[in-house]
Amino acid sequence: MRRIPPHVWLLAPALSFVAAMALFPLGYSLVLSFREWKLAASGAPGAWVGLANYWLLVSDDPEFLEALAATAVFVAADVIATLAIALGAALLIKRAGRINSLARVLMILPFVMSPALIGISFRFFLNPEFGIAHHLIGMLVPALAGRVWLADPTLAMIAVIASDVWHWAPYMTLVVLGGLASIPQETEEAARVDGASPWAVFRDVTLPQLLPVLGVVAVLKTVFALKAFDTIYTLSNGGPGTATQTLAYFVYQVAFNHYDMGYAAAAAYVLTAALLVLSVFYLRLVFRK
Amino acid sequence: MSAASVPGVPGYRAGPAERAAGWLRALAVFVIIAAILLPIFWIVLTAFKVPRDVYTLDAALWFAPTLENLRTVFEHPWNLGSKIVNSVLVASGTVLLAIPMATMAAYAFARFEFRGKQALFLVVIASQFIPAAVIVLPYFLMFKQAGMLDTRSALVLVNLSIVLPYAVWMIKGFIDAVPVEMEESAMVDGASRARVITEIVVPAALPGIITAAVFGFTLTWNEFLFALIISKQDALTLPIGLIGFRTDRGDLWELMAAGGILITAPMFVVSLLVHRQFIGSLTAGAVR
Amino acid sequence: MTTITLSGIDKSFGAVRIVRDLNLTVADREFLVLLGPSGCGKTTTMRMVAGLEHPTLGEIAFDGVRINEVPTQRRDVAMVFQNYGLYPHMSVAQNIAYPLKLRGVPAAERERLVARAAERVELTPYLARMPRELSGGQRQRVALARSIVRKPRVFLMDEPLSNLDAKLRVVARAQIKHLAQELEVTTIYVTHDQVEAMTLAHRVAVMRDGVIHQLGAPAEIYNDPADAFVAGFIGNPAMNLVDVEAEGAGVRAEGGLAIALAAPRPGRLTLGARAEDMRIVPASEAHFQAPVYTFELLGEATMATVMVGHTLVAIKAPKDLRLEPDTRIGVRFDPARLFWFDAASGARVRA
Repeated sequence: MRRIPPHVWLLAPALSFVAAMALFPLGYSLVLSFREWKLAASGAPGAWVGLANYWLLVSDDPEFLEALAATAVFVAADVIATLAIALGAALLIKRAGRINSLARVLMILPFVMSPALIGISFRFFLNPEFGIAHHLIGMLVPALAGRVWLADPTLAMIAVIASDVWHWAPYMTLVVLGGLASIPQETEEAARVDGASPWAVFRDVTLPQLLPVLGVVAVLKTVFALKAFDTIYTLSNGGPGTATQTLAYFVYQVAFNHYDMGYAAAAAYVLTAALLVLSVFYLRLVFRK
Repeated sequence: MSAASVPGVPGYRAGPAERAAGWLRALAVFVIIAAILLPIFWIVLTAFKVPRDVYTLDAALWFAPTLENLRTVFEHPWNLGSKIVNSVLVASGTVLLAIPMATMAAYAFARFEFRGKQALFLVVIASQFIPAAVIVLPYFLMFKQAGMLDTRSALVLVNLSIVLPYAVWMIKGFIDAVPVEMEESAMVDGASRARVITEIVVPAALPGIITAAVFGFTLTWNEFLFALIISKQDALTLPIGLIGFRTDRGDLWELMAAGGILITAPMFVVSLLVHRQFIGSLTAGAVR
Repeated sequence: MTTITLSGIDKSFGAVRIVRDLNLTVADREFLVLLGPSGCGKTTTMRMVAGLEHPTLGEIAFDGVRINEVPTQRRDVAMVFQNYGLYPHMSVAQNIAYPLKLRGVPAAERERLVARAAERVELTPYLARMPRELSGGQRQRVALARSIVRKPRVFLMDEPLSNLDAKLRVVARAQIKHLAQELEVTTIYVTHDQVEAMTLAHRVAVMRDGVIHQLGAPAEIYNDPADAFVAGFIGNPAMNLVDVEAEGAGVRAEGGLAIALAAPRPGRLTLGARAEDMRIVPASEAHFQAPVYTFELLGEATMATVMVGHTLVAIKAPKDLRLEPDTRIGVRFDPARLFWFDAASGARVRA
């Protein structure tokens, strides 16, 4: 009998779980997306409908198209805000110092906080009667004083984005800090000796070397934004109306409020396609040799 | 010998612009710290307020603190106690299953050369990108048929799908950093492969393995979507318990805040305990 | 065109005092080497001249004008870093051109100057390459070209040869010496390698623990060391230093070996002599006798080592001599090339 090489039995448990818990559902959902299955009516999958679920999504479901639009706004604003804050904060606290290392340690806190709790908390802070953030923002920006945040489509979207940025920007700051730390200090010093002002050092030497890390941050944050569900569910419930209903939230609604499994699987696959494309970008960025 | 000594002359005198810039930076760092801490601080305060003080801003900072909320959340109908038990069991079950499997796989990826290794590893990493909805849909249907909906085992299974890939990647990074000479010298001394792994590699990579365990625990502890779909009553976890405070009578903020403390405090404690390795390994992936 | 004056310079990092009350003037167009073991403060001193560190106390002046508060980019210095500090995302040509670009030199002029600098260090074929595609020696030359592409007030070089292999180091050393003579710019050169110091410097400052132990021309430092540290640091092999105690007409080494040399004063002393200033002689002429510990062939000479007390003492001998271990040999010092130091402080004791 041939001996089984050690890497096979070392890999077998983990890989079979990954296959069962991730790859199998990936295939199953794809199959499901070609079938009709209203769970409320029947416990078993219904007829094969080909691409009808997909066709319905794009041709006759304004709610899906709105969700696409909301997703685009949410992801774009979320990624840009997170990148800007993470880069700014990282540059600010990269120097040694007691306050800066305190800030670095505190950056972990929002990241390990339950996103559901963050959504709930932001909802509380924005309450028009006794919300502390509603009150403070009203004092700083009088134009917003009387507005009910979660009843206004634009403000609600801003609130949802803000809660997600609060959750992720500190973590991304740590990632950017890691990137800054990996830049050889001598290159920045050489630039200063060569006559570069602080701004020129940043523009010509620091930023170009940081770009790969910023790329990783951008792709990762895009992925997390596309998958964002908890904060939206607990903060705005996708509302007012469907103003903050992103694709991930839409899939949940179709599957577990309308119990339209085939249709949900089709919508989920639109999201999956986007994420798989991003994962290729991500793997290229991280594993390029 | 050379120039006359000028003892005691300050080596550097910052100009006014430089000093102003220094103050601005300090202020900005202060704003960052405040932005992180104030929301947390406000939730903590709210947890110790009686409802009357919650529903007004007049008692923002000055109020008579009460432990009533922290007691109430453990009582019927909230029963956060049983939700804590569920969360602890689901999170520790997931971690206890995931970490040994992930360590074995990470070791294989780190130390063996075999056909398709790169592809397999990329598939494991990429599986994190599958949206949760895609994973939960089939399993919701299967658990429903198998009568496993609303069980902790079902939650452990689906949580493995997010924890395993992260853990494999993180632990592999730490095993890569263990010098292969350590293993070779143990093998020269006569240790078997299994002994090398358990007696050399695992102890050397232990900080990383613990970090991965903490990280996996945190992910599972905070996991929301799977729990929302799969648990109904018996297997409810803490994050789902929180949304229970949204009632017909309105949102019970002081109870949510008390529940929030319960869900957050343990995560703060463990993550601060391992923060050095935590920061290192979380950022290592992106910058290597 | 630039005289550098360091007056009363002190530098502490937290509680650690790296440089202590350092006073030093580097004359215009002088090539000064800061020499010392790692951690002696030589690199910190250079970085303060560059403005990359601020002194805790004291004044740094260029041509008599205090520059402590002038930021690095306005000091008009050029520097070669130990790891070169090349910009990894710029080509060789862009790396060399960067200082000119910052000074607003027009593109055509820039190209001409880059070409000239590259030619001087033989980099012309590599101008389009990226730094990661270059060998260590080529990278070192890019760093050199980047610093000579303009005419700075001051040249700073921080161990520029330490990352090269031994063979390449000799070539690069000659190249630096040649460039320095041609460019005539005030230069501070940091190294822990005494051969580099001896071959390149007009003057050498030997540093330890943040203090200059001796400042002088290479020959002066070699032939007339100010203390036991300098004596032991300069020369290859290092000067033999033996702790002795004056006794009667001679001295006695630890362990009891008598040496027939008259001590300049009573008490505990350190006797110093270089390997080439000692000879193997018949017992009748010897200052002391000892058995051979090892015997090595060096090619152009041989080296006998004997144990004196607890110290190994090396003696250079003719190239055709052959000695077996444990042979008892007589050793004679050259009295004119003998150094005495206080055993406790290391200070030179002159006869």
